Amino acid sequence: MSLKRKLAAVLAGVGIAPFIVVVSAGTASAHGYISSPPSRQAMCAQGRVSNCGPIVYEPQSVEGPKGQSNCHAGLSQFAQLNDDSRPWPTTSVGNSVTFNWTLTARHSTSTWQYFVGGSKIAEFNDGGRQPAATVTHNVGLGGRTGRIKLLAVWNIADTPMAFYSCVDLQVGSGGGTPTTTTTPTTTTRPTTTTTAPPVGGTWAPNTAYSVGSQVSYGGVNYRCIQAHTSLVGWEPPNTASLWQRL
Amino acid sequence: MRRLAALVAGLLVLAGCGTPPAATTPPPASTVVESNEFNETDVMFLQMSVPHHRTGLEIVRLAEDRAVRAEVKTLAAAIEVTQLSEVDSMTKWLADWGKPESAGDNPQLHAGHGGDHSTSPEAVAELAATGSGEFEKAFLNLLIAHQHNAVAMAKLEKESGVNPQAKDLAARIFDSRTAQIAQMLGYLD
Repeated sequence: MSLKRKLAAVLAGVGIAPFIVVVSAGTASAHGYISSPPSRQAMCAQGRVSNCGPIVYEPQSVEGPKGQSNCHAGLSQFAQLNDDSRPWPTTSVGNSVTFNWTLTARHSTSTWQYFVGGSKIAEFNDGGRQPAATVTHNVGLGGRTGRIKLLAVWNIADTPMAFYSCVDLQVGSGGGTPTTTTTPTTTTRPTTTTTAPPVGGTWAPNTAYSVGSQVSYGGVNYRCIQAHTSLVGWEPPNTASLWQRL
Repeated sequence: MRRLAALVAGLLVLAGCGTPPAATTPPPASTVVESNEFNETDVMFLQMSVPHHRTGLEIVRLAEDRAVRAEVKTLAAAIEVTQLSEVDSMTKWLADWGKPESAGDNPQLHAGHGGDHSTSPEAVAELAATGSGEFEKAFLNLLIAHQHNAVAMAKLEKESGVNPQAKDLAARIFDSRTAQIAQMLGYLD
């Protein structure tokens, strides 16, 4: 679909929305993914893997019909997630791992399932309950060692849909400690400069600025009034709460 | 008169106005000329964002006196001041347009706009009650989820809004929350 047609569809949807009385259960708002150890979509959202496509902006949206065994829920726009030839960084773990989910909607849940190589290694049955704000599961890897690709599936109770997250792990032989310490192998992590730039330097994102730091932006000088690590979207002219114009 | 204009512009900056003042000073970054033209998406975006921002403020304030790493505390404090400033801008625009600050609690109102993107008071209370050993992880996961929803709302406004200052704010929310999420996912590793 062309961008123009997509936009038209969105506009049409918004235009008619006020007149729609019937409301669905809202599967569109039920979202989630594994944030740590970082799933493939978390690696993308974090910028540790580049050229991931639109998943960067919505790692919580890998939603598709239940019963699939892929990393992208069968969605073509997220196909990169299922591409094992990409250099996905691994997280080093022991034989028991604590998985943390980030949920943007706490939809009633039937089960959480964990698979390695097509075998189910763990299942947590929520019996249709609404999950807590933070969901964590401890999963034993059954003595597996070396590099593994784990698939986690969040099965929603009252829709035919599920959410899919793949996590690349490097399993040590060290046995039962639930360590989630990470030493990623290949990373393209965005660099964060940890020292304040010299007075009069040009503003840059991903830089730690302390109170009193001075920068120029667009030919204008600013002084930092609130310590922060700079971000795209937090440029000095637009953030008077972070930067004072000089 | 010119001095007055400069003073007003200065005050706007000091007051934390989200967008640069329009005509008086040549803004170096975005050149948004504010307008009172708006559509239903603009109103819905602002009415959803004001309470969403305020919930975000409740979340980040929890990090102030809890055991979290210094960089997490710094991010929380910076999110607090920027979101406060954004709320000021948004409530001002809604007032200018004669619209209430919130559309109310009825989730049906949001059905055509991608669903109700709120973080429930229970979720915030649960976080507040989390023990110190687990707090930072729970804090990051809840705030990441909260900001994902901000990105989703901003995307709708970017695509379907018409008001220049609201669209400009949406673009900055889209970018800054995406970058905040990237930072926070890094802290979770």
